[in-house]
Amino acid sequence: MATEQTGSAWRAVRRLVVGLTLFIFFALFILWRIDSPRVERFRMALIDRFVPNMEWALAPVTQFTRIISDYQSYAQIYERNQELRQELQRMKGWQEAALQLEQTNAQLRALNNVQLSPSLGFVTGEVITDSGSPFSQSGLLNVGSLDGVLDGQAAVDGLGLVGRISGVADHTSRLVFLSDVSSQVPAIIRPTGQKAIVHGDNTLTPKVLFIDAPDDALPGMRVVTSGDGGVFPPELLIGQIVRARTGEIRVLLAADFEGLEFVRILRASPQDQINGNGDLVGAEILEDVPLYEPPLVDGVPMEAPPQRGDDH
Amino acid sequence: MNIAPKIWLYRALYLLLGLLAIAYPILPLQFTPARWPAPELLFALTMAWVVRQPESAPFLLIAGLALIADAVLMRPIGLWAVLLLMASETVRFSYRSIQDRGLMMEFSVVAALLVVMVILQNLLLVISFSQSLEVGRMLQFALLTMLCYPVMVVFLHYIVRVRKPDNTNRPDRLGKIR
Repeated sequence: MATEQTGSAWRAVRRLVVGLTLFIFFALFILWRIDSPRVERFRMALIDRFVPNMEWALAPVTQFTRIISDYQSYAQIYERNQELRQELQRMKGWQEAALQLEQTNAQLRALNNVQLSPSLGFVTGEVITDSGSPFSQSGLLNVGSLDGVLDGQAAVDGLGLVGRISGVADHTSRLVFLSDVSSQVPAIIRPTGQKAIVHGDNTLTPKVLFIDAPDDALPGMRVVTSGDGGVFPPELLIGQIVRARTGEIRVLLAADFEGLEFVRILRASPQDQINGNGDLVGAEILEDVPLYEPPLVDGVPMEAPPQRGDDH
Repeated sequence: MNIAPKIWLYRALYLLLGLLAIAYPILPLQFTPARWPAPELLFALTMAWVVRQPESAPFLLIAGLALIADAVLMRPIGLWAVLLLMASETVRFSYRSIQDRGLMMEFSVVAALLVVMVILQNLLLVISFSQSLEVGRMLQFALLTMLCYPVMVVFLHYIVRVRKPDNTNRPDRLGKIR
C-alpha cells in the first residue's frame, strides 16, 4: 500500500515537472521570436559553455574522416600534380607582372605623397564547427570578445571575403558565411564600377542583385565590397561574376570554402564619418518647415530664404 | 540493489551518445552548402531508447540534450525541443504495447510521430512569422531520419545492448506466463 501511495505521488510530481519543462521551452521559443537578441546571447553563452568542451571528443572523429577523404584525393594525385605544374607556370608569369607593377606603384606613390587609409588590424581564428543545419550557413570560431572580436566584423581567408561575425561570446563567435540567406553585402563590380548587392541563397554562388545595367556585368569581372553601410571595409575581394544557365548573374566566391580552416577577422579602425554639408551657405534649412513659409532662425521668421540668384 | 548502478551506467551512456549525436552534424568537415540535410540522430536515438528502456532515458536528461541541440544547431531555440519531448512522452506512455507488437509497428509509430513533429514545427514557424522551411527539404530530412532509425535500433541492440526486457517470463495482460 505504502509503495502505491509514494508511486502515485511520484507520478504527480513527474507530471508537474514535465508540464513545467514543456511550458518553459515553449515560452523560450516565444521569447526567441519576440526578443531575438537576448535569446541569441543566451544561445551563444550555452554554446560557449559546451562546444569547446566537446572539442576533445570531436577532434579524433574529424581527423579520421579527413584522413579518409585525403586518401580519396591521393587517387587523383597524378592529374592534380599536372594541374599544379601548369598553374605554377602561369603564376610565375603573374609574379613577374606583379613585381613590375609593384615597382611602378612605389615610384608613383613616392611622386604623389599618397595618404594611405589606416591599415586593418586582424585576429586569426580557427573554424571549430559547422552550422550543422541545411538552412543556415555558418561556422563557430574559437576567438571571442576577449580577443577583440565584435559583431559585424568581416572575416577573410587568404583569398577573399568569407562572411561576417554575428554573435559573440567570451571565447567563441559565430561567423555567418556569404552563402547564408541572411547575408547581403553591398559590392562594386570592377572594372565597370557598378554597385550591387551580393545576396546569399544557400549555394556557393550567391546572387548579385540590384545592378543598373545587368548586360554590362560580364563573366570574369571581379566583385569587391564597396564599404557602403559601414559594416565591411571597402575593397575586399568577394569573387568573380558568373552567369547561371537561366541567365541570372551570380558571383563565384573567391574564398576557399572547401578547405576552410583558419580565417582572419578584420578589425577595421572606425573611420571618420562626414555628417551634414558644412555651414558655408548660411543657416541650415530645417526640413519640417513647409516651403511657402520662411524658415525660423532663432525663433524669428527670416525675411527671405537665402537663395542663389536672388536679386536684391 | 543490483539494478541501481546499472541504470546509472545506462543513463551516462545515453548522455554520451546524445552528445555525440548533437556533435556529429557540426563536425568541421565541409563548409560548402550540403545537398542533403543532416538526419536528426538525437531523435532516432531517443525514440529507440525510450521504446526499449524508458527508465534509463529520464525526461530531464532528454530535455537538457534537446535544449543544447537547439542551441548548438542554430535552430529556433526551444521549438524542436518541445516537440521532441512531447513525442518521447507519447512513446513512453505506451512503450509496452509498442514493444509487444514488433519492429514494424514501432517503426510506423515513430515515423508517424516524426511527420507530425515536422508539420507542427513548420506550422508554428508560419504562425509566428518566422522563416519557415522548404517542404522539399523537410521531406528529405524526414526520409533520412527514418532511414537512420533501423540502423540506430540495430546499433542499440547489438553494440550498446539496450534491449527490451526478456519477454518469456513476463506475465501478459491476462496474467498468463507464456
